[in-house]
Amino acid sequence: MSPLSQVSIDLLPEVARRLNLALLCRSNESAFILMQEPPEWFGQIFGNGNDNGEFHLEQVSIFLESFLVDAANHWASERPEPLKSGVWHEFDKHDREHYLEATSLYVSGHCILIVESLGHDYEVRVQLFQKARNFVLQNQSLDYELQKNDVLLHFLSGELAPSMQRVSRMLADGKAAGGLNAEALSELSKQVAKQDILLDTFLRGFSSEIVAMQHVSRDYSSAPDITEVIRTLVKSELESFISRSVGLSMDSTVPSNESTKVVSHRGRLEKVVGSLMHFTLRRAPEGASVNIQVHSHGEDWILTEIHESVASLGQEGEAIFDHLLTEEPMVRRAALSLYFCKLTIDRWGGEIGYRHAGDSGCWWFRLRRVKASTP
Amino acid sequence: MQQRKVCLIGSFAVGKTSLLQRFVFSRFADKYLTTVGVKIDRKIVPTSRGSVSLILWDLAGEDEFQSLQTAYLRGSAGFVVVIDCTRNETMQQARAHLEFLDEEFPNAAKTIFVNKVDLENAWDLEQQELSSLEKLHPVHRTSAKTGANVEEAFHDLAEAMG
Ligand SMILES: Nc1nc2c(ncn2[C@@H]2O[C@H](COP(=O)(O)OP(=O)(O)OP(=O)(O)O)[C@@H](O)[C@H]2O)c(=O)[nH]1
Ligand SMILES: [Mg+2]
Repeated sequence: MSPLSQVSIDLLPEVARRLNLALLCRSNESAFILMQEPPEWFGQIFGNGNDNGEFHLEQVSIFLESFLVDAANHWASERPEPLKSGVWHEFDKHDREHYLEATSLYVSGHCILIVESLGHDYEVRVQLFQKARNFVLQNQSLDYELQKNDVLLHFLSGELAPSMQRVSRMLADGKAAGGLNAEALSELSKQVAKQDILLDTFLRGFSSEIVAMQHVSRDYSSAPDITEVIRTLVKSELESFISRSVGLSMDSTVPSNESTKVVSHRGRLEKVVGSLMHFTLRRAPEGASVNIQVHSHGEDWILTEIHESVASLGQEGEAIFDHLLTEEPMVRRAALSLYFCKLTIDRWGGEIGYRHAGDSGCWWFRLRRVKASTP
Repeated sequence: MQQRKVCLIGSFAVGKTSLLQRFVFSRFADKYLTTVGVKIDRKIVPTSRGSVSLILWDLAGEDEFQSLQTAYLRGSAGFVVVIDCTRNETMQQARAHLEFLDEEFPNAAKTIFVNKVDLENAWDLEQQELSSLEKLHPVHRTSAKTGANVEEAFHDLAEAMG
């Protein structure tokens, strides 16, 4: 034997152990024996085998019991390529969770089973899946919001508005005729009842939003810090922006010893800023950038500006918060979420608007500052 | 004691892991931690035929990155197909799963869990489609978050597995 092959034989078991692999060989129909001193976790999960050093793995692991059926077919076929089990989770005797994967292999008449404990690679894989799925979920919920808005706009403009017009026409006709007759009165009450139902549907559809609008924190301990809220959002949204080749950054001109806590409510505030960011992102062309700035605005206010290098709305956009529900169709889709932003900011005693300058645009809103000394 | 293998399948994030956490350990977490690979839990449930040990396989959710590995389904006596009531597309996927299961496992018990019913405001399922599924398989409206109907739904399945 060449010196190299002797070295290989001596080293291989330890190499496998360090790679977190336990190598087993099938000794009869259902028993396996270890081909090396296994990594520590193996004994903590699968025990030490019987007196002959044999392991009946199907009795210890439900997952392996199932995989060994596939493995047996695979060995019987004598195919040269390995068969993998896929990842599964197993707890050891100390209740620690391990992520394992088994491989069956047929080598020169021997049925080999390799069990691997997956470490860092697996965690990276999980993180990747997690990110991808979070991203898909986020997009789906955005779509859902848009659909909901569409339905409501349809209600408001297609159903509620005509019904209200009919009511006012009837009232005007009645006035002109010097009073309403019985037929007109009954028709009028039908129309009013219909409006009631429509409004009720509207309110129920948005009840969670409307309830949430009531929440507001005014005291220092519970009021949210807008700089922190924006920083968190920028972090979590960065990937969506990058994936559309739109830049996203934030800056603050508020001195670091000054608080940027504002009268508002954390969950709603996130939603307001998030809605504006999404509105901007959906309209931004590739290569555009969005910069969010936090400024002090006198003693009492904190001003937030969302600068767009390419304006999402034209000059007419400056009036967007004045008559949201009558905007052109393209803008209308997202108008309802803007409408809720406005209602929310109004309720907190703040102000919101949009400015257009040349090619660029800027969404801004200001909220009352909560100072540490405020009782 | 009798043992019965049960597989939970459905799109990602519909609440398969949460339903098992609720059923087996009576707990719930808001944070979404996706399952990669297979997790197996057990729970003993009483049935009219005596106690049955359920071997519950929590399979990774399906999406474009990962598809259902049918080798894991072998030997299942029952299947729980989970739908998220706030995402209509998870019902489309459930329909496809059920067609496959009816073909491959005609004798296994199948049941549908319409999960997250605590999120009533965000209900998104098309009623017609749901009714048509309801004609073929039992449907339970569950919430892993509040625990509503979870215990009952698994018990019904345990009975149905015979
Ligand atoms: N409100 C509510 N949320 C739920 C419910 N069940 C699950 N969730 C949440 O939905 C998200 C996904 O739940 P999981 O149990 O991880 O879903 P899964 O189907 O196992 O997902 P994958 O492993 O990725 O396939 C988590 O954030 C859960 O907290 C429920 O009944 N109600
Ligand atoms: Mg899961």
